[in-house]
Amino acid sequence: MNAFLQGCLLQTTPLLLTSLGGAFCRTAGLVNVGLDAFILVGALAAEVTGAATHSALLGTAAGALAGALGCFLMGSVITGLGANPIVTGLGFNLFSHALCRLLVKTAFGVSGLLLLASCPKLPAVSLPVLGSVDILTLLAWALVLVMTWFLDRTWLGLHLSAAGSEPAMARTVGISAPRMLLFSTVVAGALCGLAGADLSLGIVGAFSDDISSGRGYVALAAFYIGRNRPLPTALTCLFLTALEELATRAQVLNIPVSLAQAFPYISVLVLMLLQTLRTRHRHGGTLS
Amino acid sequence: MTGRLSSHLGPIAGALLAAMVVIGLCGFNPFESLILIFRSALGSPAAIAQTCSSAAPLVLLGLATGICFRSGVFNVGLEGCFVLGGLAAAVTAGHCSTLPAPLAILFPLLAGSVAGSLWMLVPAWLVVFRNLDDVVTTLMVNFVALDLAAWLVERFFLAPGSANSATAMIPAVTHLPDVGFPGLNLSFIISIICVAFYAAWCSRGTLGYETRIVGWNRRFARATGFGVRRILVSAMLLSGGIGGLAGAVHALGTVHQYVTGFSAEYGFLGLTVAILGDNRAPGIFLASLLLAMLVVSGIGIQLISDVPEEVTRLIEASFIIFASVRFTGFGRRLRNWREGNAR
Amino acid sequence: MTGLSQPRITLRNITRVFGSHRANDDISLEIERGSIHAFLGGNGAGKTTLMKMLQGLEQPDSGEILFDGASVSLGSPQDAFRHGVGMVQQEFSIIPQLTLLDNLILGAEPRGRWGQIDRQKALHDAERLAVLAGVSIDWSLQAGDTPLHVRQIVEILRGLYRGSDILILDEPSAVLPREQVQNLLSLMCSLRDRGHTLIFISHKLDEVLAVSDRISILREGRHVATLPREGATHDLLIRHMTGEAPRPAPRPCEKIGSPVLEVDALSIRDPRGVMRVRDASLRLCEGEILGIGGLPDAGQIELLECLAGLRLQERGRILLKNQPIERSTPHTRRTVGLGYLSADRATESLCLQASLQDNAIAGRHNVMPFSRWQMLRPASISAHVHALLDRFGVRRSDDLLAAGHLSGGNQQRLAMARELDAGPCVLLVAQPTRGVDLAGIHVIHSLLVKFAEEGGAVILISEEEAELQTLSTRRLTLHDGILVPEAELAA
Repeated sequence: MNAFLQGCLLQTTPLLLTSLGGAFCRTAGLVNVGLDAFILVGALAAEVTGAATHSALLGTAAGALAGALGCFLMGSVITGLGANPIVTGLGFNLFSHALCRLLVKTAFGVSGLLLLASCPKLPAVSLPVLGSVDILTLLAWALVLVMTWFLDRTWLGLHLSAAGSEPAMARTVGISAPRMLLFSTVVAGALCGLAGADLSLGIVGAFSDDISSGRGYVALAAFYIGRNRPLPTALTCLFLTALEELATRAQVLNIPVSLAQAFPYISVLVLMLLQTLRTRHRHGGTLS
Repeated sequence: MTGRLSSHLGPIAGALLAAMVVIGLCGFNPFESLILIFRSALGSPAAIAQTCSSAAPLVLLGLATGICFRSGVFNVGLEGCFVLGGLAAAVTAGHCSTLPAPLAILFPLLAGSVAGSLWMLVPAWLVVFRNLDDVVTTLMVNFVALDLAAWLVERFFLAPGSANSATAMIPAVTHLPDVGFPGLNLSFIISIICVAFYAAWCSRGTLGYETRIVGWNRRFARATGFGVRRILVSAMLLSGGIGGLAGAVHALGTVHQYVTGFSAEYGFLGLTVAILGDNRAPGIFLASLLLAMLVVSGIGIQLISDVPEEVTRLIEASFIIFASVRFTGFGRRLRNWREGNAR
Repeated sequence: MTGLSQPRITLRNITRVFGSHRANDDISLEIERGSIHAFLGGNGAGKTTLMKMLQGLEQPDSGEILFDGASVSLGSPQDAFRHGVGMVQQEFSIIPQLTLLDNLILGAEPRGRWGQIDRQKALHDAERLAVLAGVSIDWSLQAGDTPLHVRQIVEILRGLYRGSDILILDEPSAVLPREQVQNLLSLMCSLRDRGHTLIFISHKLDEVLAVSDRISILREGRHVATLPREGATHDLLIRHMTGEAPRPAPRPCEKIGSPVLEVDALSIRDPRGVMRVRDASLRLCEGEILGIGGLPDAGQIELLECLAGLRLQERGRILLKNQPIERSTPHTRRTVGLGYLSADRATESLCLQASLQDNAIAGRHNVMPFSRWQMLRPASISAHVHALLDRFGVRRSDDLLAAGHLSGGNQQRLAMARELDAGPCVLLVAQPTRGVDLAGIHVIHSLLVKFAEEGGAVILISEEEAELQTLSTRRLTLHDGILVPEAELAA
C-alpha cells in the first residue's frame, strides 16, 4: 500500500509540474499545447548538464532554463507573429522531438536512449508514511500553494487573469496582454523543464526521446478539468496518475500493454464527460 | 492578389530561415542540406513522381482538416482516422487477393474511409453533443486510436513471424497502379479529384455554405434555423471519412501494410497543409506538394549523405510552427505591445 | 494657475481622414472645466473618432488638442490617462470574471512588499468613493453576477479611483433601466459639482437636455453648432443633427384580423435555474403590433428567444397558425411563419464576416430558388438578392461585400429584408433601433408599420419608451417575469 502511494506521488510530479505550467499559461490566455516539447528539452538539458557538472541541482536548473527559453520562443512566435497557438504548440512538440534526436545523435552518436553514467540522481527526502521522495516532488506540491497565493493575492496574478480573460478590456487600464502572456510562457516553460529534469534525473534516470510519453497532452487535459485552478488541477493529476498506476499493476491481470497505454487518455475523456454532465444538469437543454 | 500570395510565402520563408539557423547551429551546412533535400525530392523524374504520390495523403488530410476548420471545429484528430483507415484498408486488402483489380482496390479504399468516419463519431459526439473542448478531445482520441490500432494488430492481424507489430504485406493486385509514369500512382489522381470536389463543395454545395456560416457565427446560424448540430456532425464525419481514405491511400500506395510508425505525424502535417493553404483547394494542393518534398527526402537524404533524417523532420516541424504566422499586421502588434509597456 | 481661466480641453482644427472618408473635418471647440458637455450626432457623424483622439487611441492628421491651454500629444491611452482622461466605455471594460473590487483597482492596485494586493486599503478607498457617489455597493461580488448599472457605476468610479478629472461617457444610458438612468444622471451632476469635467455622448435628447451645460452637434464629420442648454430645444437639436425638420413618426393602423400566435402559460428558466418568465399567456392577431415593455432584463429577451426556438421552455404551449410549435426547431418555426430579429444585431441577426448575399439567403439557402440537389444556384441567388436589397434600400457597393462593412442602420435593413423576404406571418423584433441614427430609425419604423398594415403581426420589445408608444397597437409589460397589461400596471 505504501509502495503504491509512494509510486503515485513520484509519478505525479512531472505531470503536476507540467499542468501547473499549463494552467498558468491558460490563466494568461494561452492554451499551451507545446508543453510536451519543453519537458523533452528540459530532460535533455538536465541530463547533459547534470553529467557535465556532476550536480543534480545544476542539472535541474539547466532543465528549467532550457524549458523557459523554449517556451518563451513559442510565446514570441504566438504574440509577435500572431501565429495560431494550437498549431504552433503542436509544431514545437515535433520540433523539439526532432531537435533532441538530432542533438543526441550528433553529440553522443546514439539514437533513442542516452544514459550518461556520470549523471547523478536527484536528492531524495524521507517522509513519514510515504517513504522517500525526491525534492522536486516536494517543490511541486509547494508550488501548488505558491501559485494559488500568487494568482489570488498579488497584483501580477490579478493582471495575469485580467489579461487572460479579457485582453481588450485589460488594455484599457494599461495592462499589456502580450506581455503577460510572454511572462506566463517563461514560467510555464521553466515548470515543464523541471518536469523534464524530474524524469531524466529522477524517475527514468536517463534520457530517451519518448521520455515525456505524452505527459504534455495529459497535462493539457488536467488543467482543463481543474479549470486552471492550481489545487483542483493538482488533484486531477494525482487522480489520473493513481488510475494509471492501478492500470500498470493490473497488467498482471492480463490487460495488454497497448491498451493500458491508452488508459490515461480514456480516463481524461471520461472525466471531462462527467464534468459536462454535471454542468448540463444545471443548464437544461436547448433545441436544435 | 499579390498581397494574398505574399501572406502565404511569408510563413514558408520564415520556417525555412528558422530551420536553417537551427540546422546550422547543430553543425550541418544548412544550404547543403537544403540542396540535398531538393535533389532527393525533385532530382530525377522518378523522385518527382514519388513526391507527387506521397503528396496524395497529405492533400486528403489537408482537405479533411479544412472541412472542419471551416465549420469552426479545431479538429486535430485526423491522425487517428488516418491510422485506423490505413489499418482497415490493409486488413481488407489482405482478403481481396482473388477479386478483379478495380474492386480489389475499391473495397480497401472504402473500408478505410468508413473506418475513419466511424472513428470520428466518437469525437463528433463528444464535441457536438457533449460540448467538450474540441482541441483537447480530438487530441486525446488520437492517442487512443494509436493504441487501439497497435492492440488490434497484436491481437488479430499480426503478420506471422513479424518481430514488430505489423500486418502481412497486401497482395500485389491491391497496390495502387502507376498512372502514365513509373512511380506516379493512382493516389495522385484520387487526390486531384478530391481537390476538385472540395473546391466545388466550398463554393456551390449547400453544406459547404452551411459549414462556412456555422464556422463564422454559430449563434447566427442557430437563429436563422440552421441545424447546427447536424451540420457540425456531417462536417466531422465527412472529414473523418476523407482522413480514413488518406490512410487507405497511404497503405495501398506506399507502405503496402500496416506497421508501427505507419503515420509519421501525418495528421499534424495535414493540419499544417490546411493552414498554409488557408483552407482553399489550390492552397492545400500546393502546400501538400511542398511538405511531400520533405517527407520523401527524409529517407533519401540519409542514403546519399551523412545528414541525418532528423534534419528534414526539423524543417517539417518549423513549417508547422510558422504555418499560421501572418506577417501582415506586424506593426500593429508591435504598437500594442509598446503601449502596454509605456505605463 | 492659468488653468482656472483656460478651458479644460480645447480642440483646434482637428481633422482625421480614413481613406477617402473625412471622419473629422476641421473641428474646433472648447470644453469648460467642471461642466457636462454633450455631443450629439447621427451614426458616422464623427463622435467616436473624436473621442478616440481624446483617449489617445487615434491621432489627428492635423490640428491640435490643448489641455488647460497647453498643447498635448496623446500617443496612447496611457498618455491620455496621465493627462487625466478617463473613459466609460459603451461596452464596459469591466471584466466579468473578477470581483467588483478587483475591477475597480485593476491596473492601479495598492501593493504590499511581496507584490501582494492590499485589499484592505483598496476596500477602504472603494467605500469612500461609493459614499462620495452616493451609492452602496457589495464590492466582493463577481462583476459578471451584478446588474449592468452596478458595473457601470463601478466603471465610472474606476475613473475617479485612478485620479481622472475628465470622464468621457459614451452612451452610458443605452443599457440601463429607466429608473437607473435617473441615478446615473444625478451621479453625473454631483461629479460636475465637484469640479470634474464630463463629456457625455448620447442618442437620447431628453437626457442630454436634462443634464448638459453645453451641447455640441456634429454632422458628417463637421462641427455644426455648440449650444448652451438654455437655448436648446428638442426640435432645434434634431434640425441641427439631420439638417432637416423632424418627420412625423409613422403610425400603425388599427385594423385587427384573426389570431395567428397563441401562447399559453409559458414558463422559462434560464441556465442558472432562475425562473425568468412565469405563466405568460398572450394572443396575437394579424395587423397587431404588440409592444412588450418592462425593465431591462425582466425576461423579455428570454420570452422572445423561447418563441423563436432558441431556448427551451419549462412548460407551456405555443400555437402558430393553430400549429403547436413549442417542441419545434427554429427551422420548423420559420417554415411555419415566424421571423426573428434579435437585439444582438452584430452576432445573432447577421453574420458580419459573411457577404450580404450569404446573409440574405441564410435559413432559406436549401430551398428553391436558391438551391437544388444540395447545390447552390449562384445566378438566381444574386438576381434575387440584388432585387431584394434594392427594394429595402440597403446602401452598398457590392452584394458580395462582408456585412460588417455596413453602417448600423443598413445592417438592420439587411436583416429585416431577409426576415420579411421569407414571408412570415409573425415577426419577433427586439431593440430594432439600438445604435441606429434618427434617419435609420424612421425607415425601420415605417417597415414595421407597413408589415403590420399588410396583415403581419409583430411582437416588439424595446427599452425606448417612445418607440413602444408610437408603434404599438397594444402593450404589455413584463414585471418580474409576469406579463401584465399596461393599464393594470398603471392602476
